[in-house]
Amino acid sequence: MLRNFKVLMPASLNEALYVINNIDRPFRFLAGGTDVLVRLKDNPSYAQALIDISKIGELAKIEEHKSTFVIGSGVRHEALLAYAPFIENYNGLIEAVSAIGSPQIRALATVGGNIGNASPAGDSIGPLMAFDAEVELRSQDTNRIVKLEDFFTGPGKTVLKHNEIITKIILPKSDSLKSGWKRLGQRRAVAISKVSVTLALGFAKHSNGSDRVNDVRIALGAVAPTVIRARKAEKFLLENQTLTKAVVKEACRLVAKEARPITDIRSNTEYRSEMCGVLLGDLIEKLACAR
Amino acid sequence: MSEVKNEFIVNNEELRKKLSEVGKNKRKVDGDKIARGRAQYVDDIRIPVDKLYHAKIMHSPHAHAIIKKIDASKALKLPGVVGVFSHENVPRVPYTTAGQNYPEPSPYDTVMFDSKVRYVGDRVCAVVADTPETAAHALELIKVEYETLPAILDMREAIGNKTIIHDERDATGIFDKDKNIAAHVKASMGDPEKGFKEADLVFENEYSVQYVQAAPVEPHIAITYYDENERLVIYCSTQVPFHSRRIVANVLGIPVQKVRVIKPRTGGSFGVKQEILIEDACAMLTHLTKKAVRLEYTRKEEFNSSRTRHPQIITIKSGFKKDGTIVALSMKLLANTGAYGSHALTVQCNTGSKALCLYNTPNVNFEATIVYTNLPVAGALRGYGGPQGYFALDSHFEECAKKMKMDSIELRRKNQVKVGEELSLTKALGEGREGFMQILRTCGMQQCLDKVLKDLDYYNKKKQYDESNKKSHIKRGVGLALAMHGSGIPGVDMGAASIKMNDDGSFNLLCGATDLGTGSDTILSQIAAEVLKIPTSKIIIYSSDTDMTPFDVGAYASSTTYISGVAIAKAAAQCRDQILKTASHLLGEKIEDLYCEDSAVHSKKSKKSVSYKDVALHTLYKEDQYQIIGTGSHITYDCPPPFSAQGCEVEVDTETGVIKLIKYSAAVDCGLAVNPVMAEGQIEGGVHMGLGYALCEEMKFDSKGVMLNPNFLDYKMLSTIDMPEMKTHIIETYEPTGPFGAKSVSEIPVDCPAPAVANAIEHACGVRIYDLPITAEKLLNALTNKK
Ligand SMILES: Cc1cc2nc3c(=O)[nH]c(=O)nc-3n(C[C@H](O)[C@H](O)[C@H](O)COP(=O)(O)OP(=O)(O)OC[C@H]3O[C@@H](n4cnc5c(N)ncnc54)[C@H](O)[C@@H]3O)c2cc1C
Repeated sequence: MLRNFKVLMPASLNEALYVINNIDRPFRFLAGGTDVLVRLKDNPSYAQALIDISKIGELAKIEEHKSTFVIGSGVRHEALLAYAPFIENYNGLIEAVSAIGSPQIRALATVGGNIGNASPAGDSIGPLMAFDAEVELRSQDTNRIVKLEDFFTGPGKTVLKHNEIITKIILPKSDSLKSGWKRLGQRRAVAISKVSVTLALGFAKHSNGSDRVNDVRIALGAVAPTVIRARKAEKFLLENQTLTKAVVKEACRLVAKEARPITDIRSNTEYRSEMCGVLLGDLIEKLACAR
Repeated sequence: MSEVKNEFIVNNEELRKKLSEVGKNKRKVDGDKIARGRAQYVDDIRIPVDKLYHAKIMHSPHAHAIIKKIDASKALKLPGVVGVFSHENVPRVPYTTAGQNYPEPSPYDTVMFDSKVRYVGDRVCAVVADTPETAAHALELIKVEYETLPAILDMREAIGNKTIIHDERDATGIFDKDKNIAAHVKASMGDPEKGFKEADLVFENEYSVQYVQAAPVEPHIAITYYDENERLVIYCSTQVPFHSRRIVANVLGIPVQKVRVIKPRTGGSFGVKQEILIEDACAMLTHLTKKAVRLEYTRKEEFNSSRTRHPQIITIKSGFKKDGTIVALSMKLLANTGAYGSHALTVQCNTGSKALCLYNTPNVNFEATIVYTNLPVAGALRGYGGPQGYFALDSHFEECAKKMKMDSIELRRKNQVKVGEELSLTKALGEGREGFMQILRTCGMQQCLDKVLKDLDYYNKKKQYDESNKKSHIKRGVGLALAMHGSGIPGVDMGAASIKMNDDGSFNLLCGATDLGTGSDTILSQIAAEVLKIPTSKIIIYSSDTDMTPFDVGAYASSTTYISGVAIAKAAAQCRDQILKTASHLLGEKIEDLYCEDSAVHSKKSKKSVSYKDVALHTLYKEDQYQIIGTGSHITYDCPPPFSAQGCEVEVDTETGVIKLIKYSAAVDCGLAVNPVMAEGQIEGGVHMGLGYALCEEMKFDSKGVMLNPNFLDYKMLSTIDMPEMKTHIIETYEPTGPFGAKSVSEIPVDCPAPAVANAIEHACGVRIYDLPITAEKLLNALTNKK
């Protein structure tokens, strides 16, 4: 039960920054509320205050810059899915975000919330990480940019300081990458991923005219304390360049070994590891054929 | 079996065509108000008392412990707290929470508050306070000291365990306390031993099924208060208002006369409200404090402390002749009733009496041992033991056919019980006592089977996929299952109703039968309207209120249409006869020359007629005034089974183990469908429930007996987009003992999905899964082991 609980509603980012600089109790942001309210109901000591940032318009914009897209942390999944440049060039991101919850959830939930919640199963995180996204963290006096890959330190844990807020997600432009995302859940909708894999591939021509891989990004969700990049498998594919059956098989074996999953109510260690490989195989096939 | 004496017989197509209200898709009588949010559920009730207080229950965090001390001093000091109640200040009365007929065939192994807790979620104590928040706060301030005891968390370890779950002295009706056996039953027909000896082929398999929830949208809720006549009024969401009245009166130690139970609209129940789950406590708190009290379970409490489907381990053995004739069948169950034995005996009896009667077997053996564990309590849940038994039986039959290299459909057709044959175990396995031998009168199974085979294009697909599956890791399969269920509990279930006529030719129908969202108010109104020859809209139905409506055992065992329906038809017929009598006087003609139609009485001879309205006005105001009123009660020793054949097509990804439902077909012989659209709704809902049982629903526990997924995020039911394309068929037969030929439809659909899916999966990828639910992990593991 919530007692002596505060809800604060700053009207602007500046007000929000002031509030978190001065607040004297453990708090959480309320963006879409789809994580924070569920947790609070389960565990009243999860926070002693909520800072409602859902009405702060300046956090809810997507902007296009020369070499980046800047996604406000308050952008709702639904809005992200409707943004044309993403539909065109960030297929993996679109696939992942359209699988989050249900239409009702996507209409409320935000990208910043998915990141701030820091679940290893957060579905938008894998693709964002694969695209080398960064987050801007601001406090009243500071402003720093952190690579998304360095942002998470454990389940529910991040480098965010108590007086900081995620303001933006900076997504490098990457027209040349083909990407895809796959997951397995307990059912087809409103199901937290048991395992998810993001793959982004860049291709170039060999001197002999055949295709070769010149850029590889693989992110794994729900199989480690945080979403992770599968660096060994990435490196292996990049070194081998050509996606022969044997190469793909080895990459799948490597990626399964890079996963460090746990057994929980949704699935088990063995299954999750193995599925990283299977899903990666599916994605490679899909992206390589789609060209 | 009784002689068929039913004047509402529809036994052929011709009579079927003459019906104007029954057999038609009438609108749900409460549909409009429910859609508009105007229906009154318990939570909407505003009681005529100044102040409503709120109760909260503290549940045990331990699977097994003795309560050493309850220190409520801080809680009692909290402003707004009325009292804290536990074994220290609430009288100790052993009873069963199973809302069954008197005397209940479940052990009296429960007391409202005990000094021992037996599962995580068991009652420790309760608080009454002025707001729900204060009550919840007070709970946090209560300090309870426990002495924890070893817990039994695996049903296989219950018998002979050093730990004894029910060591209290005052419990009665437990089969063997010292061995943790709540109930035990054995039944046989013919000579099973000889049967197996004479069989050419004998097969044996073991199956197991998990803990699942009913998960009605509306949780358990009760509001109780003493009215101005010092009578205890209980509003609650229940299937069994009359059993609730009797059991609560007993626990409180007050006469039944002092108790009134009212069931308003109900938001689903599926069996878990055939349980005196919280109204006993709520009523006791009102009784002790003299305050009006409201108690509602949260979803988490529903998961932890409500009732569940009995997990079972089932061993089936069957003996066949070379030509596929079944000659012997044996089923042995070990079932887990959790910490209390609610419905322990009867659910398991039903597993046997339903599943073992489907195939006509001369030699049958059944044995069930139902044990206590320190896990949540099992109870009644739609299907009542059927889904467990049929998962085992239909999986087993498919396997036998495969081993005998026979077509499994033909094997089923050949052995399935036929009209005129006895349902072998129905006499031996009654409601906790001997039952009544049933002889099959109607059976639409073969037609059901034909429909499903056609929908699935079964034989073609079977061949086609056998080929195409060799080429891909994405494999398809088709599978089928059959089931029969019952309609009411013969010789036990009784329903009653009364009907009176109003000035304008409308009628009040009062019945104890409980509409739980099932639509029984609509169906029963249709039956009354059909007998009276009026539009269904002229019936004003009221159910159920122990002060106002005649007795009815309540909604369970698929009894409402079949049993209460006849009671209503009888009451309506009495009204009709009185109407005819008055009309005969008014028209000056003989009753034999008169007939009822379109809300009027007509003469075959003179072609004159008199309207019901004129009859009503005459009887109420003009001459020899009297009230046209009829009452009817119905009990029967028949239990005609509805039948179902169901089948599905699945797709299995053998790299991930993911199972996709492609197509589903369900055909049910429910006798005559009183309201076909609503019957289809029951079938579709039942299939949805059964598919969740097959594929994903499962209550999981940690090593201390704490449920790990007590919420809808982690306990997965299938969502609408997980449901496959579905075809539903009603195969009408005309049951001579049912109202207008009806049998029942509410439980039968849930029996088939699990075996149908398991069989389809086996066809797709050659792997047989013996324990539910069939998750991707489990299937992949089995596929790997097969390699
Ligand atoms: C039914 C249901 C289904 C779901 N299904 C999925 C799914 O399929 N996949 C998935 O990934 N998730 C799922 N979720 C989880 C959730 O919807 C997502 O994580 C969502 O993106 C959270 O966003 P939000 O805006 O609602 O966050 P909130 O609940 O408002 O906040 C979540 C956390 O992030 C922090 N936070 C929010 N904004 C900021 C900020 N600007 N700066 C710093 N910290 C911040 C908050 O302090 C809080 O700790 C589901 C949730 C529900 C209830």
